Amino acid sequence: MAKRRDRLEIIKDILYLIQEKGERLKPTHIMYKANLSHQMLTEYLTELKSTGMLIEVIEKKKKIFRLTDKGHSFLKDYGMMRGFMESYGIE
Amino acid sequence: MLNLYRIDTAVILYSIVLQLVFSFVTFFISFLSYKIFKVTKNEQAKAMSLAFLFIFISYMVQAVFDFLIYLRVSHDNYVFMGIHPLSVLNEQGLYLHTVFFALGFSMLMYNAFRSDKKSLLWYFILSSLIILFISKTLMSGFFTLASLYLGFLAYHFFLNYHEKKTRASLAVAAAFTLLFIGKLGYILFKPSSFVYMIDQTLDLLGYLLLISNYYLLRQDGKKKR
Repeated sequence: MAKRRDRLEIIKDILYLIQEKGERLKPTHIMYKANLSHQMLTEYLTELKSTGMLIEVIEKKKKIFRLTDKGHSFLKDYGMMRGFMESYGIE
Repeated sequence: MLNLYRIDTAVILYSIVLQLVFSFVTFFISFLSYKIFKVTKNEQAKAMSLAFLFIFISYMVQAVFDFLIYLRVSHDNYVFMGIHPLSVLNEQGLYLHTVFFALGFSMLMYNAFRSDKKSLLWYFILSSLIILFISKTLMSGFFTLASLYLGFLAYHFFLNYHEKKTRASLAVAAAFTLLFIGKLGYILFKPSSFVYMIDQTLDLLGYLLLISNYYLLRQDGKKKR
């Protein structure tokens, strides 16, 4: 059985998806590709915006999300943070 | 009973430098854990950040008190602590150091049990403080407590290494083993300058391992990206 993703991994998945798609991704695409419910996606996107990792922009009357420098920095540090948690047995 | 012993300024300086190195490492780990807590809202990361913050404070307190002692004795080469007013300053520094150290390691113990019951945390904190204050001497209580906690934590981190099999988890387990052996020396042998130097050297190696762990993780993180 696949292991349940934790918050850190879900955040990484969302940010990575946006980065991979040239940093222009609609919320519905994020929801399907990151395998999240609408409610979960809304919660995560709100939080990522409030922590400054994502910004919401309107392009051609459509809502899209872009990564900020903080979001890029998170992706850069993700491996280190994951390893740090593992090395101290934080789950 | 009057405890009479000579203290050399070179030993105080050596101690200050080491306490500052330990402070830097523990503050860094506390900061990293807090950074992870801010993103993940993980309670274990929060507890670890607080634990290392307390340990950082304990080393800083020790460094500050050692520095105050150094300032007062630097015009002499040594003083006899037992008959000198500085012994009071030394005692106060040790009290604060041991209390903050016990708080930090109580939180690490609580984290190791992966429990969300706050009563367990209070149990560790209160029992640690009781052991410290009912012991024959503060230091004997401190070394017993530190050995017990560090021994358990080293075992816990080796179990974690057995599960994760990463070099970073091995570094953490090895670091805590070194810290444990250092404190165990005070229980197995009569406290002396030699035991003190061995303990400090092992502590230094342990904390250097913990900080080098960060660089290992950064390298591994780059490879994974």
